[in-house]
Amino acid sequence: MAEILANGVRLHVQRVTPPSDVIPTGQTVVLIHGLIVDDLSSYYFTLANPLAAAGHDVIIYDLRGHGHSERTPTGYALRDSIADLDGLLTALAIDRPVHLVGNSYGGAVAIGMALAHPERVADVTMIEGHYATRGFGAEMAETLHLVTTGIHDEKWVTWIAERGRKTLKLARRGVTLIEETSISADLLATPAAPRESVAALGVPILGIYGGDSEVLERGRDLTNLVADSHLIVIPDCDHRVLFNTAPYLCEVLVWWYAGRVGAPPVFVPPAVPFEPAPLSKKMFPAAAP
Amino acid sequence: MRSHLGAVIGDPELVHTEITMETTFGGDLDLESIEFVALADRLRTAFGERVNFVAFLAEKGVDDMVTLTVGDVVRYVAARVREG
Repeated sequence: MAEILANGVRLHVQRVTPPSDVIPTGQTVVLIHGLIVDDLSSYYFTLANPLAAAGHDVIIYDLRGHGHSERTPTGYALRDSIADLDGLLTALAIDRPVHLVGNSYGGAVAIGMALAHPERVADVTMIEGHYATRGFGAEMAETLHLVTTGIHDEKWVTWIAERGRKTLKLARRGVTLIEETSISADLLATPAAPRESVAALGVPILGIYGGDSEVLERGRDLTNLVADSHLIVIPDCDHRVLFNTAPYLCEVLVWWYAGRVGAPPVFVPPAVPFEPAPLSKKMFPAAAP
Repeated sequence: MRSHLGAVIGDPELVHTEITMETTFGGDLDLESIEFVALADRLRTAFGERVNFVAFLAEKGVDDMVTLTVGDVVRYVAARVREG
């Protein structure tokens, strides 16, 4: 486990490099995870190792307050997440543009990074990614409220308990992150990124969203706004695109990073329907404030 | 293996846990995904690139890692080290 001081915060970082029998592409991919009940392990067991096996230098890290990274009492605004990532790249002495991949909230960090430090970003892949549109802060704060309400909701507790004690432990740790730090207030205060700035983004955007996702419209909006972009919609899938379609995502990323030669890989739907996301509003609509 | 597990879980939590070859990571030790990552990292550092935890899990077809035992990992590491 590598612990790296970035922007004054101790971040847990894992660097997954190509195996010795693979020719390195010389490209670096940084994977940014989602909020609260998420950490770098979501990527470690899905995209990180296959991308390294394809020759990429892959960096995954736990966001501040998540996983094994330092839990500071404050500093959870989107601009802090961007400064942490910028500090991490500096600490790792990476001065060439990197490919960013953001899952959910990680998408907002990736787009924010591309806006603030375009020279550091080769392109951005949004996996069900949010970005700082008008109302983004309120939406994030509402999601955090759903988590703190849900931990006292019998239906939700039963659902996660069925998935094992460690899932419940992860959820409870997420609740303490919300209750013991400034994360809700920090996110609520997120300013919207000016649409003209997003439209003028000089980096290509690949969006991969679920057809049944509440975030799909954000992906449509973003890819309509940015000229050099490509949107892939996974039918009958909700917010859990990363967990449900990881092997396909790897194929798409390898195609994208190799220069988008030919048509993108085609998604083959599974025989069994996808499991619904645990924190969808459909699951406990009454819990919303 | 106990020292590696102690490092990723935190020794106090292991004091009252007897670790045998049959101990399961998911059930008995309640290991979280992030702790699996730390364990994989430690094993790779200790034994080199030949010990690839992710490839091992893929080969076994273990999705949720609940049934994976300490013995499974010890036997895998031993085999890879023997192969050189």
